[in-house]
Amino acid sequence: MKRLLFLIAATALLGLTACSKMLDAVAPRHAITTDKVGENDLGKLTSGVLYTMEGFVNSGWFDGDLMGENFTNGPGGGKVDDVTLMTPSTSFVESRWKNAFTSLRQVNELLASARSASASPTAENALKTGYFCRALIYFGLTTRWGAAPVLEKTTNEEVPLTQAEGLYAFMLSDLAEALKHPASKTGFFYVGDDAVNALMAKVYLWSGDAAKAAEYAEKVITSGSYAMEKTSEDLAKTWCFGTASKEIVFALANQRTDSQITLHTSVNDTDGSWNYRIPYPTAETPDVKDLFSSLFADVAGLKTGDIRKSVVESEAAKNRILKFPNGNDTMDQFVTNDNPLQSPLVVIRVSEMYLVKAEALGNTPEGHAALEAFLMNRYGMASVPATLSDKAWTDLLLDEYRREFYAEGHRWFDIKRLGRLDQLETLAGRDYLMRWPIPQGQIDLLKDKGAYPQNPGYTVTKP
Amino acid sequence: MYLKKTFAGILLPSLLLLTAAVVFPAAAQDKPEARRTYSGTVRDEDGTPLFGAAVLIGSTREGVTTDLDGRYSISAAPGALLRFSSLGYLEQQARAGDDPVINMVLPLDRQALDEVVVIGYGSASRKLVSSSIASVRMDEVDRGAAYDPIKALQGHATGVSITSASGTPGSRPNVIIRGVSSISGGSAPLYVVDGIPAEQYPTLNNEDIERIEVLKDASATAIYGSRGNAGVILITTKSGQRGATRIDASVKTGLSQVAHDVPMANTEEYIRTMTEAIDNYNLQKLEVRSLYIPPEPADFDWVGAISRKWAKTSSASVSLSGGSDKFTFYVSGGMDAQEGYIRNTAWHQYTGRAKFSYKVAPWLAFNLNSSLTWSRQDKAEETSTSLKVLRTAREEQPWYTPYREDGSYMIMTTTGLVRHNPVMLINEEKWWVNTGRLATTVSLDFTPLKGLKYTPSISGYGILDLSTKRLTENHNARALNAGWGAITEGKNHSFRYVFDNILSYEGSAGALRYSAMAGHSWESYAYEQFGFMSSNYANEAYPSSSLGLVTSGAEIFPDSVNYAAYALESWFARAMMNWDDRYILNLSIRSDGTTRFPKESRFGTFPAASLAWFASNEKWFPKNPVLTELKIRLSAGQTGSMAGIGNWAAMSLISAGSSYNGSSAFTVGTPASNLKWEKSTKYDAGADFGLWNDRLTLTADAFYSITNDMLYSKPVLAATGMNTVSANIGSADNLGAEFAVNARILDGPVKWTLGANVSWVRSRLLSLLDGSDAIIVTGSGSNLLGGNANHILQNGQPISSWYMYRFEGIYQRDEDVPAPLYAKGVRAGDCIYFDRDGNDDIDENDRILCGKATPDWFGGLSTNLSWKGLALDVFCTYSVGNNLLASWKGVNGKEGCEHLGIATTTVNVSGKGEVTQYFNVSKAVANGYWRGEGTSNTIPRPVLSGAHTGYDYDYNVLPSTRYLEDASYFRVKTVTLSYSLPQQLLKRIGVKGLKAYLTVDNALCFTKYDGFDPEASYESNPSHRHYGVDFGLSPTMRTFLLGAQFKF
Repeated sequence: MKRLLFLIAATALLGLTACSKMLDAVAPRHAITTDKVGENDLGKLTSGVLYTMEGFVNSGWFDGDLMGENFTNGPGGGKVDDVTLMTPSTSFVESRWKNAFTSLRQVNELLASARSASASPTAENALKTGYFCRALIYFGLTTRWGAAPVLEKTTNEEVPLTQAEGLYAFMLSDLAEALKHPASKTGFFYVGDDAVNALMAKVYLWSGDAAKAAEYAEKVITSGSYAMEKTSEDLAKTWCFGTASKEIVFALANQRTDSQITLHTSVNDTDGSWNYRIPYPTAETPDVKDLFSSLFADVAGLKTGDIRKSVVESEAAKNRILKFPNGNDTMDQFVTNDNPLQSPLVVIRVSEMYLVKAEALGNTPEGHAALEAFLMNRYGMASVPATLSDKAWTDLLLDEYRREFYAEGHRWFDIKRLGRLDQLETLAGRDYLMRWPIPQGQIDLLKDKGAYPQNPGYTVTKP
Repeated sequence: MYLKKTFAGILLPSLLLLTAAVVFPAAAQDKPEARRTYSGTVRDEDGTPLFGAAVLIGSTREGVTTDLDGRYSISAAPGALLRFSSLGYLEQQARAGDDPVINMVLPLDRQALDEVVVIGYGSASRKLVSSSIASVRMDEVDRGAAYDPIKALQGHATGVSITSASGTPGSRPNVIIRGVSSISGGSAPLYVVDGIPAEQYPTLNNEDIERIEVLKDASATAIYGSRGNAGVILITTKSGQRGATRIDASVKTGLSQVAHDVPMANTEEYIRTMTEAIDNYNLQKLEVRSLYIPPEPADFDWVGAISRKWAKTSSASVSLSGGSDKFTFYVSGGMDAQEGYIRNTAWHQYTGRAKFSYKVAPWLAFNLNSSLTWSRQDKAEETSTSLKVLRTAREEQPWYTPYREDGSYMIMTTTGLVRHNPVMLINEEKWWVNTGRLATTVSLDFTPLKGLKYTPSISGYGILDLSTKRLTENHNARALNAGWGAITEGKNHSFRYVFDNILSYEGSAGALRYSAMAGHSWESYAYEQFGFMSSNYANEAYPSSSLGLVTSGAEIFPDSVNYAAYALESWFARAMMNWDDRYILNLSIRSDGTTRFPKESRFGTFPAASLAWFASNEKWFPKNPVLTELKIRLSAGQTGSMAGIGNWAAMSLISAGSSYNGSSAFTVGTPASNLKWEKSTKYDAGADFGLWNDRLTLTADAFYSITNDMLYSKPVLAATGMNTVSANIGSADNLGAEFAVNARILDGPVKWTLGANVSWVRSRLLSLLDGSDAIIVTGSGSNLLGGNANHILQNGQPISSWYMYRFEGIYQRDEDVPAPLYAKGVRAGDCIYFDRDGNDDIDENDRILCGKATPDWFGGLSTNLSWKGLALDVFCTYSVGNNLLASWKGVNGKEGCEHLGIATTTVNVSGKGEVTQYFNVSKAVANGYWRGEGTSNTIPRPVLSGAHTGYDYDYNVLPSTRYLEDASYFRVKTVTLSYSLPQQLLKRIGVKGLKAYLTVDNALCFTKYDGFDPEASYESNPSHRHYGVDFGLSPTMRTFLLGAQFKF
């Protein structure tokens, strides 16, 4: 019995003493604490930012199509009767805003780590990637809201909104900074000088500096690394897994093993149960305008045999958009996609640079020539009339933008930039809707409500 | 070595004891000439022989005790009075007469049994408890069809609201003790089984449970400190008793059916309703749409095709228990099987328990308590907002059947159906979860001095979850997607161990009796999740038997992979003082440290005190036959909650797990937040009355609690890079009262008892965000659950408050429609909503507070009428004052049983091409919709989508009180008729006790709610945006049971 007694006492003592330090021993397995992150981890943080950008790019992917009357969402896609009907409390407006800033935090944290790290190719690459991604996020903010707080680092302070001009300047300085740092990885899945120049061209175009826009677009076109595809098959492969398309200037890899981003599920689902209602007439809705019959229609003498037609649509699968092949060949897909779950998110294609250049050079012989260079690649023919009214010129540009970037989220933004609001039927004179409302939920959280002035035209509603 | 010794130590004395009892007869008597020998057997009411019962002569101490078989033999003078007694039984007397055989039955002393109440880390005499504890002995509860002991508590304990959110086999009830006092902190109580806190809702054999105590006030719960906020439920399992070995067995079997169905329209009603919807639309929009009707419309019952008309349920349990002075044991095995309403769904549960206690020496006892549970839950896609088989079946067109002529499935869209074929969903998917739970506690009771006890214990609790989902290639809803997961497997396990050291002392000094307890506890918990899926098989091997047949490595995807862990270190102490059974003081304190908080604020201290005054024990208390007992109780204290905080909230983390282009990636996590315990301060005042010697007992309690530093995910400016940050910001309070009465109305040969209880709670949110007194609860809520903004957190209102449009009837004439609404297409037959801002338009600003999802009043009512072996038990529960959102009807979305024309799919019909077809509607709306002035003021007109503009879905389906229904109910929960067979009869068949019974569970429910069941809720936490939402899950069914209990 004495031995037993001894045993009890020993166990009790052991228990009591062993426990005291054990509260510090519990640690997660999926993560490390911030203080354990070193310079060697900069490469992983850079990858993390690109991973974050995949999510960012995906979240607003179809905005320009849905608001630009290209097509409407399928059931369950959060459709509203009138896609331009936005109020300061519309949920998708707030969710895009939030998404931009949660992504920005990842970028700013990377930049902070990279700036404080000693110089190395990895640190340089981190800086290049970081500055480019920050500009890309602000491009999304600026083109939607025309105002955003400029945040050079993560902060809990209330930073007031900066209007578009300031935002363009911020993006251009970031992109200029990005050009100063060399990339350590090559290929269109990583940020290189061409991607930076291409975004530079887009920012200049939006900011109204046409000459610079044309200059930077030209840099990308003449870099020798890219070419527009000339057949439907080659073009269609651009959005497939394992793409080697020469069109791609910058894309996000989307090689995830979980939380895969699949654009096809939104417009080209595999079970055939959803109907994306690209407007076409049915027995019950004879009054609906059929976009497909007109979008890639031939225009005698100017455009015939658009190679983009079969990339996007087919008579056999007219309730879906084939641009993002779903991998199920029984569903009238144009090309086979070996892995629809890991297909790239193509952010900038060289064809856009052709159009940017043409738009920047304007309704001039140079502009016409630039557009013809583009048209040659898509129709194998090009003859822009020598004299065009400015309206006819922008009509032509907008038509090409629409054909080129259908389902790539362009339409609404192109109309906005070119000032052709007459193209939007549902807008019905409510021009203020071309600047998204500052989310009321955000204004409500401000200590100084004046820090975020609401964009013009929106009435403030409070419950 | 040690082990061997212990075993020998247990076995040897038991054997010796056995021999001694058999060999040595009762002591011989010294005056044989005047005496005769009387002998017999002493048994309990069930006929079990009582070992060690005392048989004494008159008022002397002279006597004998019974042996293991309950037999005695005593020498006594004829005419002497023999007294038979045993601990826990009422003493009985018999006069020694001519018959030398005197058999005696000792009735159970129920008061003595109730004497002891289990409290945290110990037990106390019921009469002397000064805090608020509800105590339920499970043998006295009619459990009906429930295999779940907690469900059986419903209506039996005051202040405890228990609701069955659905009838899905294996689903857990929602339990709220004394109101909602937290938003993020959760409102689920802490479950403690045999002294060991459980991480999750316990799975136990009903028959193993001796009693359940619900600790309600701070004085009772503060000993569980940081987890006491939402109350504590202590579950105590049965133990062996010294005496002859007894075998208890019970079986029951039954059939269940839907108690209140929701019939859908038949083909004729469906065609009529949709035609009307199209006509109304054409008239308004000047179009010429028409309804496509198939050439040979069938009339098919889709819900019937996927559900069981009668679902089987059965249970069996057997236990073996007994013991000697030194050794007691209880061993049991049980089985429960319950089929669900939806075909393929079922719950199977197998339980085993072994409990031993051995007195090694007078100062040392060794205890072992081990239980193993294995359960299997067969599931169907009913809770998912995408496949939702029950809703799908309801809304399918009644004119189609599941199969085409060639035997293949009808398919959504491509061959005409508007929804996924529910028969296919059920047949082509197998989904089950096997769960194994092993819990073992080893403890020592060390009593070196009288009154002093030291109990070290160690317990381990492991849970293994194995889930498998298999789909066949015919599962059209999934099989066409890449990465669809023909097979998904998850293997998750959790392990918890608790190491307790408890020292207690009991003593007395004069009229003061006191006990003190101090202890230390260390708890560690870890949970690991590992799941993966694939859809790629070689050689057409699917549906595959295992992932082993997956060939291509690239086609295996992770499913759920996760790790969670936390640890808790605690110190606690309690002192209980009783002065002359008149004044009772109870003081306790606990200090908890957890890994979830930053080092500096890791420990929290939770003190409590209670005082009871036993007025009826005062000398001056007038002795009267009416008020025989009066006790007044007061308590105050603090408890905490750490449920609302993530395991890693105290750390700033960089997370791995993501990747870019094949390279692993780090993402920056949420920065460490400086959090502390959410604390509640609770007050309770109560009184216990005993009238006519406890013929009537009354217990009344009033309580108030206030929670401060409430944890809430505070919204922050998005520009910070975060959307919410956890913070200790809010406060909320609860005020309530509880009242329970129990009466023995008839006490003669016919016995009649009646018990009733009622609880009232008013919960309020007091403050949350600075500068804002209301937050609309938003989130990514599916419109299938009523949209994402139907709840509001408003200061001064309950946490589960509803916020929506108020439905005020139907416009009867076009002229009544205000111009702005008329412009949006609103016409006669459409809904009238309350126009809060008076602008003649209906928009978001017109939403108002519309009641709440938690009840004001709830309780139970039970009565037992018995005569000889025959007994009738009726048990009822009720709940008053809560509203439920019937989202299955189709709130703020295009789907649902009451869409009346807006839910459509464009489908392919052979020979016709694409046509629009409509979802089915419920019979109630198909026959009750508005069809002209004065026809209805509750159900709008049918009309197609597009008639109304300016709303996300449709004007008529705006989230309004049209769907918010009064969920008050009065339910006759169980009615049981039982018969205990008489002993004479049983003797012949060698059975000591046999009770047979018939039960109707969920017999009747009186409610205004027109769905399956007014207790339905999609979520369990009252602050959740989907709490109180009836999505349309399997119903709680009405069950007819036949059962028997045996004692051998």
